[in-house]
Amino acid sequence: MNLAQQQQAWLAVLFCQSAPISFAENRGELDIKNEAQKTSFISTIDPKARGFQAYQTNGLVMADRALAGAYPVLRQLIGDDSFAAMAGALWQAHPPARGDLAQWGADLPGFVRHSAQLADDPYLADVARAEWALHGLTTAADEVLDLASLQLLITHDPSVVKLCITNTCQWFASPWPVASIWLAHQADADLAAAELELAGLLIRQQVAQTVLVWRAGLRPCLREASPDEDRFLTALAGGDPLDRALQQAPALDFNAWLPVAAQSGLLIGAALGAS
Amino acid sequence: MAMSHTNRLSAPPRVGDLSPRGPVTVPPLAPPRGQKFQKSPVEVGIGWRHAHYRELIERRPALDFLEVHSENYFGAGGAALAVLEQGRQHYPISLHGVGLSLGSACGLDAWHLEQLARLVERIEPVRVSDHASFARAAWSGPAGTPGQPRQPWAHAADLLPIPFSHEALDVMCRNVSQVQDRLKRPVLVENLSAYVSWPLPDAERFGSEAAFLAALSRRTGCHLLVDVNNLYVNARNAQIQGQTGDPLAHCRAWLDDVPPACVQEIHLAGHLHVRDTHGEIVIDDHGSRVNEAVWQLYAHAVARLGDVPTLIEWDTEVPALDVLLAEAQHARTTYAACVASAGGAA
Repeated sequence: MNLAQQQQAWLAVLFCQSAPISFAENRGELDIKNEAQKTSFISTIDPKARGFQAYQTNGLVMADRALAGAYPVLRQLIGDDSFAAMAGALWQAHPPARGDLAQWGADLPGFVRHSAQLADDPYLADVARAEWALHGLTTAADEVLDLASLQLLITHDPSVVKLCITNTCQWFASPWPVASIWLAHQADADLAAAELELAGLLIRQQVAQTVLVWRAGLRPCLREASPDEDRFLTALAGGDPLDRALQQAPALDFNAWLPVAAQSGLLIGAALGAS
Repeated sequence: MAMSHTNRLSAPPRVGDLSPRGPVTVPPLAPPRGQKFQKSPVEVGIGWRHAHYRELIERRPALDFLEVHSENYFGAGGAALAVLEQGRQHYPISLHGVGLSLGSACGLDAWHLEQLARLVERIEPVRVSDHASFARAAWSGPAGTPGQPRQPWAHAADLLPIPFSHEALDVMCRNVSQVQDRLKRPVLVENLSAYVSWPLPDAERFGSEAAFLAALSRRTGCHLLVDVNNLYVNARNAQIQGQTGDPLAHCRAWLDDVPPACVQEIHLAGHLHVRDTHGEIVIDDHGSRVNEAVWQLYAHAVARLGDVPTLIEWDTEVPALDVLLAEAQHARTTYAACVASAGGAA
């Protein structure tokens, strides 16, 4: 075995812990099913050694810590112990691919969605999806509102003005009240009980919500978007000028929406341009 | 908000790790860089972690530099990067990486190197460092979620040891050179605390760790970052396994073997002695005050290496800022004692 093969074998054993190792689809660099190669590795590095266990333990600790930072609400929803177990399972099934642990965890929403143990709480996957979106925008490029450009809304016809939404903005429609669930877990202690009770009611009624996440300055934000705002933002993202975007959202009170969007960092400017 | 990237072994809470120190034993000063003592005091910095972001900016204690983990500031913007830019207005910044995986035979992650290069360009750090370790390799484990393609690479998010072999030295040289070419500056490479050693046939063995790192420096022009606590942790674990005798003597010999001119930074940290049902091991957890034995080794390192910038690392169970500042002051005191001893000897 050369060094690359030894290191590959090390990681395979490190991540697989004591679980049965299936290497049926190995990539050809190293055949772990080849007993001679496997024995060679095991004789070089004893996976049962105290030192090797220290690395395995550290991996599980890092997994829990990393995902707890990205998915704090999901952790509250399923409990610390279940969350740690899930983090360990994801660690083995989808190890980090990069040396920046903040990049690891994108597979968790899909992992939750396919988890038989979490099937009784089908909203968890969309909560995880919202939290991963929030996590991702924390390191996005900084933006500032181009206030002067909003004069275009006064000086030009809406058919030639395009609104610029922050690049950090993402939204998705969920069949579950994800925004209410998430916000209930941000509430102050004296309001938390009522907020959680309301979120529970919305879950039982399976109220669908569109979740909107973006960054206001340096602060990640999440709220529910109305169906009309969903269509309005989708039209703007598609390049529609203001008049056409508003046609998609007849119930949107644009005069109320505009100042709030500008103050909250959702809107960062306006530009000229027909569709 | 960026997450912690301590990449260090975590351990359960413990008691008794704040025991008072005895006096530092000051060894006789060796000549190689002793004259530098008379030029300037040693630069001492601390690891700047999330718990102290605001307090340190507000208090601005007397420190010569701050160290941060590079990976916590990857990305184009956001709160963590904004704080770091505030910090660099007041202190030189040392960027210390934990994820480059300089010892990986499969090569570096180009994405990681580009992120680091962008950060270096933005922060203009006083030093850039990472470890003589590997973490990245082709992934041949389970395929993961059904229906999804297997990911090509895995990264252990840890500092895994490399063998001190001719092949590993070639790998390290290739990867370190690639980093230095991209960053257009020399980097520092740190010796590791390792819990597993690679048994090597004599034909494949390059030499000792110190010789390995010295050759790396000679061939690539990189500098060395000597973590004194790592030396001691390795020596203690070797002692537990019956592979060596006096750990302090082992560490002093290591320090005596490394070429002083290569060493551009020293790290000091706490460690944890664990005895459980699995056995006995010393863990480099960076979660307590610097051990008395490590202070003794630091004094030896100062005598041997001179006024090398020194960092107090504390990554788990981070204490009050004043505790870190006291540790930094202790490093200065130790250094001053060495200078005084050298003056007395002269």
